[in-house]
Amino acid sequence: MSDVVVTVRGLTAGYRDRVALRDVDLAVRRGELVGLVGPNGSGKSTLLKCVIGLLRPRAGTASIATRSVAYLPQAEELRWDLPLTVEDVVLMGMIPRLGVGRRPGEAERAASRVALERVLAAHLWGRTIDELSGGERQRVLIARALAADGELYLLDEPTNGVDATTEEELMHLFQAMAASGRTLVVATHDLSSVLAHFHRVVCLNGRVVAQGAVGILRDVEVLRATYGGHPPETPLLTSDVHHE
Amino acid sequence: MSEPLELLGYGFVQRALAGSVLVGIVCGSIGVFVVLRGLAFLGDAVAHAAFPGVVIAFLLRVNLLLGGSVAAIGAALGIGVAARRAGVREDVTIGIVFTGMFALGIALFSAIQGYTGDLLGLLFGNVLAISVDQLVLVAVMTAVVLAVLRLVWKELVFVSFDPTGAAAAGLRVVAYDALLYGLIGVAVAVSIQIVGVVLAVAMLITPAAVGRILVRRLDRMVIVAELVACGSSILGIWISFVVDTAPGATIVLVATALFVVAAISARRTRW
Repeated sequence: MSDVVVTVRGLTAGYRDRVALRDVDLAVRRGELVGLVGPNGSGKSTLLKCVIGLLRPRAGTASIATRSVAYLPQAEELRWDLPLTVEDVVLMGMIPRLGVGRRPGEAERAASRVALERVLAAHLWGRTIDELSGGERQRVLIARALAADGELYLLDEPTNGVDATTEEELMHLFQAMAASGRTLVVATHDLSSVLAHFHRVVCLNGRVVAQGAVGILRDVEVLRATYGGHPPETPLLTSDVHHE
Repeated sequence: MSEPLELLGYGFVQRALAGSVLVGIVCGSIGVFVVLRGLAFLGDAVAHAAFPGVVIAFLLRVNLLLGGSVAAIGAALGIGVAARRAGVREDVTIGIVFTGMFALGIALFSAIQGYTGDLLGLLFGNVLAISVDQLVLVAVMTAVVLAVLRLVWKELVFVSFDPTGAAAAGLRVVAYDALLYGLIGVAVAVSIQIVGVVLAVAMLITPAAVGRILVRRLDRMVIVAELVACGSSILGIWISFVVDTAPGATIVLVATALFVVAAISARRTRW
């Protein structure tokens, strides 16, 4: 039995007449915490959507070795104006498991409470979703992914619009999830968090520019090839990089 | 004949009230999705598109509600499919289907000699003429809608809130959207019985809009929408006796008045 959870081979994908991503090869093992970095439009979301099966590749394949996947879309794609509570949203994580015709019961409610506690958002439980801040929305979506109790988590910019403290907490949560055998692939703009917390990184810019240990983000040539002349920040100079 | 209790003695009034309560329940619950998903124009189009179905049913001497329902559900699903394939914006597709089908209805209607009273009733509603057969059909359709909603409520909410996430979780989003469109078709078909083709969409959107304004939880919004829809129907029927107006239009006016009151009072309490 292989412990490779995600396998991508020779993948090319895009939308209508635009190719967003060309010739990607990638393998992610169980328990890995992998970052996808690159500028806007570099193909991070496209890669995640191909892996989960939302987008058909033009060429190549993307396959996953588990049926238990949790996906976190970019928060702004969702209808936060609907009259729903945080509880309603977190419970959505369990809908596939419940199946048609079964309503969430006490067990599911308890599980979603636990999921909210893990993202330090137990206090949001009864709130209506239209009053949540950007960071609170992200926590609720991550709680929904946790409630789905997947083996594989594909997260599209989970720390967008989140304050520094929350971001640090979420990174520790991701590390803990990986340590407990979950596999995480996270699209993000935050290079210093990747450097500090992730196992591996894939640099995208319409193709795989580089992939390997997160240390490659300290390579100016890699950053230049990924972001052109303007990387979002220079992890070389950040002082908060710490290793275990 | 304006005493409410006195009116209740008449069979046709009992049927009208029973029918409008059933329609209120269907439209209240489906209308919540129409309002939240921004499908008001679709609902109006489906109601008008049901008209040729009603006329054909009249010509074939089958149950008019049945003809209207088939056309309404067909139009709702057809718009969904056409919008995906046609390559033009959905509102344009809706407008074309809406006017094309309604024109077909008028063309057929204009070819009929005599006996047009029933058809006028369907254009503008004739709740007091509801027959036992029609009432039974409305009851069956209400039961089906409520059963389907009970089965897939959480899936419809998930798909409405986050279609991408729902698809990623393995839900067939296209199938749930088609189901919702079909349910809108059913709701429109039964509300045609009460307020007619032209005003049918009001039963779907006005009560649900009152719910949206007054409460902030989905389950409560459904209850408010159902209460407003049933209440406007009952009150509208009674007022139409007192002041001798068309019942369908009176029902819609009561619902509209409740919406205005709700909108004003909500603005006052918000600070």
